[in-house]
Amino acid sequence: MKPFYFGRSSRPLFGVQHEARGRRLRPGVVICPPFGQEALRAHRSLRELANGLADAGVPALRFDYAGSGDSGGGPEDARLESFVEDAAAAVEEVRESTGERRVGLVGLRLGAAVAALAARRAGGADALVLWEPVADGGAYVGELRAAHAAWIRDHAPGAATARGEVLGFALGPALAADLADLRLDALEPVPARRVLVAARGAEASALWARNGAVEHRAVPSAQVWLHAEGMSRVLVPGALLQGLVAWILEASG
Amino acid sequence: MRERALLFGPAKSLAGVVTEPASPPDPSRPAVVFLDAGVLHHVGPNRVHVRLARELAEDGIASLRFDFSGLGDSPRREDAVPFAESVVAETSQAMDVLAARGARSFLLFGICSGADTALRVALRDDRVAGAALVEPYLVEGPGYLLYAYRRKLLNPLSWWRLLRGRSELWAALSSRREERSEPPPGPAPAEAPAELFPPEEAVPLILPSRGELVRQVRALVAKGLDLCFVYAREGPAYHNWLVLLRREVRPAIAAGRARVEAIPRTDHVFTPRAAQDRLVAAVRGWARDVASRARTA
Repeated sequence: MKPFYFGRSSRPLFGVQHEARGRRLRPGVVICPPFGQEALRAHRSLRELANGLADAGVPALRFDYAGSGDSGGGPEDARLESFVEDAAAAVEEVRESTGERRVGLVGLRLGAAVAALAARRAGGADALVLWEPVADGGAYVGELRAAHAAWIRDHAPGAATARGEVLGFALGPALAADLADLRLDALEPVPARRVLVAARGAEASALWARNGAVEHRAVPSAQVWLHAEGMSRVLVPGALLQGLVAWILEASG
Repeated sequence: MRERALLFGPAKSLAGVVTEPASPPDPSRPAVVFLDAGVLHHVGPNRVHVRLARELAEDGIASLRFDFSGLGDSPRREDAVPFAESVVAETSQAMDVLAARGARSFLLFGICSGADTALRVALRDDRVAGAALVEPYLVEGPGYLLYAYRRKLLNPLSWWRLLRGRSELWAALSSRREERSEPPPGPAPAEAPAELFPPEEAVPLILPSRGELVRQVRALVAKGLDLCFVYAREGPAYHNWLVLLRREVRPAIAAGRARVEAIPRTDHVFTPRAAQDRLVAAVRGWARDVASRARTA
């Protein structure tokens, strides 16, 4: 794991490079994290996914969107379009480091939508994994607001919280409006040679259901992005991650 | 403000980010080291480490946020050094990084288990000039429940959750029971199969006993360190302050070497953004005052 900054100097992006152990066997992969609190909670799982890929000979790059994590900027910089731009910059970074045009993308939750949009912007991906994708941005914002209200009610009763925040992070009107317009199923054609939708529930398995290039796999609801276990324990769904690594190896072979 | 990612430590395995003022920092000003809170990585709960680091840089104060081995972006250690020991050594290595960039003294910042680590490092490394201890936790006696009941601090739902063993307080109590023993795989949420929890993914929170915490704080005061305590006013950690620590720290407060901030209507990790604002402002103001005193000294 090697941390570094990349991208434009006016918009530094924090990344962690997981170099392929031994000989590189496949194109590199960019991992797109979820948004806000979900990104903090899922951090360990995405690190283990990147380690799993690197061990299998696939270089992987994790990164933070501008305005999140260690990347430059504040919450006011967070827009769906800027997330996509940052993911596309990460794709270019991987292409440069591997010397290969072919690239894969994996995204979790909102990161899955970002990965799909960035794949299209990058002229198509080799392999695209959407793990529990946010397919309907408006419904997602509703879920976040409900989770926030429940958290405050149970853990900080009486706290005055603005409408522009969810679970500790700003969700300004501009980003909320971006998300309200997000419908992943409207994204056609599918921006990758091979696509895996790994999710629980019927909604995600319906995503691009009639497209032959898209595989759907029901996975256990690990929900690694939730607040569930407090600060002393972390969820890492090992078998699920191994399954994703195996699919990427097969799909990009 | 400039930020640089780096790997440090004897095996060059510890990942961190240095945040520095645009112009070279004055070496008489202490630099700040941020310590991991629980299992969250170096950006801190709700990214407050990043925000505070950047605001400190505006005040001319450099900082390093990093991950202990096995957490965040740092791989597990190859040796068998216990977590309680390795975090102390690794925090000193983080100070070495900032020392090589000109700093001569240090302030530690820790939330929850990070505060516990800060206490232990501050007692062992004489380069530490002060510590911001945010929500330092320990096991609760029955006194807190009585206190909370009397002050109606917990809403009915959280009482119910407490009884069901689901609250943060219960998590603290469970951690205490596991202290200095291998943590069991633990209760999984109902919807997740048990095999999702390899035991090694549970990071032991080694919470001090009541007596230990009092002894540690007394020793820090005796050492003449600058201290900043920040609490969630309605939470169990603040109750510890009232019944255990306040009398220990009182002389330091009177001497202008310590301060305490109790932030109302927030949870343990400062989820409401208004509470984050107050946390950041309190610690930034304290660090600025300590730095200006160091300068005139």
